[in-house]
Amino acid sequence: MSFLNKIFSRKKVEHSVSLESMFVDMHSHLIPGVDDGSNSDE
Amino acid sequence: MTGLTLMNDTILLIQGLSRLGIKHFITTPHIMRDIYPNVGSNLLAEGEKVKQELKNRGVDVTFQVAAEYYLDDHFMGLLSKRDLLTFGDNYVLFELSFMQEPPILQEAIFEMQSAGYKPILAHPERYLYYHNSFEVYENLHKQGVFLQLNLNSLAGQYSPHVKKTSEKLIECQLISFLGSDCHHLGHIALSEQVLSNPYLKDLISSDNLLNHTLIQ
Repeated sequence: MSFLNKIFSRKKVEHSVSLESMFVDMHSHLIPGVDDGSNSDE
Repeated sequence: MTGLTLMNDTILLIQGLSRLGIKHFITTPHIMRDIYPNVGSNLLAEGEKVKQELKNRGVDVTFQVAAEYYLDDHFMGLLSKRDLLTFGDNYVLFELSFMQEPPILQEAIFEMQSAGYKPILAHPERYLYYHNSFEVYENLHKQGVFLQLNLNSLAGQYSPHVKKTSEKLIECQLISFLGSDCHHLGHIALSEQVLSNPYLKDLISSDNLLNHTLIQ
């Protein structure tokens, strides 16, 4: 690998994935008032 | 906090996750007798209220109610009565104690599978007592127990050890389902951070994930 190639290979761009690939989120706590989910607390 | 505020948070959560690309939700409230004594019928009724609110506000997602069962005697009782909320192809989501492996784990798996349920173990990466016994994960997988990873485990939300175990579970191709385990609005920012995680990319681009099979 040439010197220039070594330099440029370090500039790897990280691309994000879309969670659309998950299609279905099958674990969440979104119903208000029934458990510890769906509130503004951290 | 008023019910209206809580419902508003629910809608904001769903809208936030929807912006990340998720359009189908199976929500899984805890069923844990001593702490969250929910029953299937009340969860389904409360879920209908959320569905109605989503419709009223024009939020274009699908919303289904199941449960995350805590593995204890109460669960075994519900299982014996075949009184479980399921999703997809008769999947049941269950979780374990964070302190120690429940002695009834193998019995529960056997009973679930004998009854025709397909068990999914929630966030296996979070059970610290398995971290030095990785073969347990492999054995569960071989037994037909599906393993579900929490998205934010890859972001290091819980601990570096949990993150490391998550990565190893992906590398060993043991993960069949991915879930947000979203509880609050703070989860959305964390989920957004993890979208560039290389392990997540590998998992999503693999043929191992079965989330897409759950679309109704």
